[in-house]
Amino acid sequence: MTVPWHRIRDLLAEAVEQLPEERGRWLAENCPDEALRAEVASLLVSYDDTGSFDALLERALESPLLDANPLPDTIGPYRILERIGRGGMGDVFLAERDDPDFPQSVAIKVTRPSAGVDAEDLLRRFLTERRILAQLSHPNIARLYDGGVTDDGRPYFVMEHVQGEPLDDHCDRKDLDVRARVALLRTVCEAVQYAHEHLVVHRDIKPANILITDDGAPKLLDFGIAKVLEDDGPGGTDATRTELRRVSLDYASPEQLRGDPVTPATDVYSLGVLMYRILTGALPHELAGRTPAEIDGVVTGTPDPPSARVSPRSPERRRLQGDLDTITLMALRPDPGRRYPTAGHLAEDLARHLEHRPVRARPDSAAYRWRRFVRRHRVGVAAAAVAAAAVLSGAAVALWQADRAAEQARLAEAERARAEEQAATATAVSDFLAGLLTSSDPREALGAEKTATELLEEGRRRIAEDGELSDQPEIRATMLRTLGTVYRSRGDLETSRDLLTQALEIRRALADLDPESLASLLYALAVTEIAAGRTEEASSLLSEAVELRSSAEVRDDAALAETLSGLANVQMRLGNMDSAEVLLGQEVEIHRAGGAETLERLAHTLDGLGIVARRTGRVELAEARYREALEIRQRALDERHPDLIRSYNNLSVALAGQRRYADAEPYLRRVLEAWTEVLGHEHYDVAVAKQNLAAVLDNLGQLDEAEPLYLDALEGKRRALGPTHPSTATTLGNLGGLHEVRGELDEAVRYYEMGLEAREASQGAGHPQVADVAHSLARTELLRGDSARARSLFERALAIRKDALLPQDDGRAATTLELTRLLLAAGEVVRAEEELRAVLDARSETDASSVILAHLRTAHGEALMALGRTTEAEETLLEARTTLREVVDAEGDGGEDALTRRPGDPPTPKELLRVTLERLAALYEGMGREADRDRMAAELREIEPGR
Amino acid sequence: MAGDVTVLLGRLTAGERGAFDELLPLVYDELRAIAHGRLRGERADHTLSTTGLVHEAYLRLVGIEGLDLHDRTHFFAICARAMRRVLLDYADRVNAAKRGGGAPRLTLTERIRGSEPRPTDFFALNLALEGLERRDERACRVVECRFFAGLSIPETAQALDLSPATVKREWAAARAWLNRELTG
Repeated sequence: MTVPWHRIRDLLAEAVEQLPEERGRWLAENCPDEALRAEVASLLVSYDDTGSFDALLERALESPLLDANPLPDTIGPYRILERIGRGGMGDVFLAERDDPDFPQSVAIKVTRPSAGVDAEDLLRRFLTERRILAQLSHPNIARLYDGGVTDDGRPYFVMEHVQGEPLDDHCDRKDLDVRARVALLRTVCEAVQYAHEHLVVHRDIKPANILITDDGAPKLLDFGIAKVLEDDGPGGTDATRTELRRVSLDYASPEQLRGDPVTPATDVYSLGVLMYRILTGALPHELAGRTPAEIDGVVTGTPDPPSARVSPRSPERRRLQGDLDTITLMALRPDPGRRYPTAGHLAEDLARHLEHRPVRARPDSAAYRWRRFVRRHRVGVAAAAVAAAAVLSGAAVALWQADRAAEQARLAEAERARAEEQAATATAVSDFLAGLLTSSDPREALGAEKTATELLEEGRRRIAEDGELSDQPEIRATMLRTLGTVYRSRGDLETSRDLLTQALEIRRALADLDPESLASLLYALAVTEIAAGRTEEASSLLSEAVELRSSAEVRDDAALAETLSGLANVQMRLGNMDSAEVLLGQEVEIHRAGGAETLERLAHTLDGLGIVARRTGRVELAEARYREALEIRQRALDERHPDLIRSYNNLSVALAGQRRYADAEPYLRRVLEAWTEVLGHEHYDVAVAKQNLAAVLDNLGQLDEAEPLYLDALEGKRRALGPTHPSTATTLGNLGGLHEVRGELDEAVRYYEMGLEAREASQGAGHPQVADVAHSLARTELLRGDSARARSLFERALAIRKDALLPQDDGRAATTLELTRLLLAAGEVVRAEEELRAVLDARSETDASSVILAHLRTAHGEALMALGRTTEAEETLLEARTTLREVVDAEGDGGEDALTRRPGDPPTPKELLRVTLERLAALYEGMGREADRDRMAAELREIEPGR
Repeated sequence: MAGDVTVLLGRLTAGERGAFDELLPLVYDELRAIAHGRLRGERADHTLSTTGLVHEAYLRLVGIEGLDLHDRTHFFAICARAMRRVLLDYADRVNAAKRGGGAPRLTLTERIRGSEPRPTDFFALNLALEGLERRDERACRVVECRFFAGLSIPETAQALDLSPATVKREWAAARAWLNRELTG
């Protein structure tokens, strides 16, 4: 008899009021009726787990309306012809583009929006991925051409349009025999291997994603798309849920079902399911209608061998027994570390089978408990990886926009390398810990209840403290290194350093035998030191690694280049631009020798050299390097490829640094156009592009065009970064400057004040950039006639500069000059003289001939005159006169075009010389030295004949 | 038209059961017309939501001056039922279009397999709701108000003349039950 609903309902309502862990006991005590109790217990499980239900429900509710939707006319630049498919992921359309250089018809997959995933996030991920996906050029892989986000925020992918039927349908319809099926599977595995070599894991391999074209060749679809769409949360349930919703459950690996990191072995598992399905018609595990917990239990077990799933008397049975059973089960092992490591190994075994050679696969004999360890352990690795990435990006300081972009590219690469290392580490941990712990004491079973941390700690203690494996130093060093990287990725940098340092001692003793392992270990320890902020230590470790790898008997160029790059980055961080330049120069040589293979790396290294050149003030050299990187990318990359756009930006910044604004302008226009097209109007990078173009136009005097761009940039930055971010403040300051030049002083003051507030809020009242804005604001106030406010602002700026900066800083000189002008006018001569002398004393050693120095001396001379210290005044004014004469004779008016000068700009050398001569004339007049006075007057007439 | 609805609602509130049978098709037609117009028309309204449709139906059938709270929630309860039928109608039509129309051109995406999570499909949801309706009709009404008209728990209580506490219990149990049916 069915239990009445109202009893279920009321009991459930009471049960959920209890603490979760007490509900079982509560139910037993309060519900004697067994049928009712069972029903409520079962509903309690569903009650607690409604998270994914909501998402599924949302889709179920909207699906009839979405399905009934008419075709869109266009998506991005593509014209939609018809709908050719529909699936869990979204719609697929046939489309075309009016472009002779572009394939006539393409397939566009538009994915369904999913709650909680930001479209901009998706796009960013897509752009990162696209660089890699675009390189996948293989006859059995459908090309990915393009992608973006639709107007209503749904990501889309533009792909080669493939006509064909799914692999399973094809095999069944053609009634292919086992051999023909295995041959097809082998081709599929080889294509997957090609992708793995390009660092792309498919993540969603299944028959529907493998189409057999008319000529019988398989073609794999949707490479890398699952990754782009995946939530990149720190592991855990959200990622699991997404994976479950996005990828096909039947073909998903145990690690995907758990939300653990995905590796090439993940695709190997899916290929195993595919083989099983193609060879037997059945799936290895029956998952339909099971709960997630049940699924986890099922997929971590071993399925029946394929031969057991076909009819006992069929000829297929005999063909499957032996090799094909073993190969399939090896691909299907629950522990990724025990599968074929790559699709290539699987393909190789299939080839061996087809050629009647012995296969490599062996039946699984692994100790089950280690699987459990590895499984738990990986969750820790995934969560800690996010923390490590945060540490690294936090350490990067962005000085310039171009540098920021280049550094981000470098960081992205470092992260990719780290992800790979982690995948390799996970496998290594599984092998080594399993080997180590089973071989040492078979009776000592570590309970499966122990946590990953406890197991890890136990492994560490036994190896690092109890000295286990001392008789096998090689293995001990490898274990220590593995543990060291695992602890690093968990964020425990102290332990990581300790373990890696121990490994280092062993490796040093073995250095003669195996210098490469020592080099690689030095690199690993350096990564830990960088993460811990110990850059000096990292530098010496990497130097040693470079030395080892340079002198290796068989030189591995890729490894050496990687080490050089790492050391160069560290040197840049330490401010050792000279060493960084030498190292990057060596890296460039390696990449130049590598030909087409290493062009991308070459461009990347040239970027690094460009940054070094710019930071060391050699802007023309920076330009040359950026230009070469740009030319490489222009030849290799799509017009809207992010690397190419960044390259344009780098070059334009180098040009702007040389005041070649007119040269920079067209490049910046391209950058703005391309970013807008790729990222949409609202993206932060678009705001930056507007800011850069506006600044160049501003410098070219095209204020009317610059102003709206500044305003757009301001809005974009405020939206993306908030109202007080330093980058927002920069645009505010520029707008202030623009209005100041136009003589719209009230407006200028308004923007400068906003900029000042923003910088104070985000950078603190003592930051040098606060002084910069305060100085600009003071200057404008002076122009407006409010000298009291100007003075207090100059005082503030000077106080900050005295605290924060070196005395020879030009900013301090400028502020001192402005302030002392006010002081002299107010009669505060003693203080004016002191301030000027303080700056002069600090500078004299460093730049004996600069115009700024002469300017300071002229001002100082005036102060000394006012104090009646005529001898000193004469001396300092004469020094200024000598310097200025040289500059004026050499450069005319200092190379400055009078038309581009702004009201607040410092005086030109010629103006300064005139002031100096006038003061000298006045000084001599007062001293009664008439001959000298007349000489000065003559010089004055000489530089300005009109007077 | 607004007058009709108001009068019918009044009769319904007065306890006349026949009024419900007259109201339902009226509301159904209106919801269908709105949904159809949106689907055919401007793409800007891509994110069609059932709640949005129901509120537009309210504005069109009753008007901006509106009804008192009691009648309004009753109206929404009727909308919820009509909305469910509209969706089923669309799902049927789309399904028929997929089956008909010549040979399938090409299957670029996954086909539905046994283990595809069933609730991606409106039919599965509707089937589960029918199951719930057989177990307990009131629980199903609560779910309809929440799902298809987006009513809150107090609003649902108003609409179905129940206490909010009862609605809360029905809702919790029904959700758990549906979740088990659809994903378990």
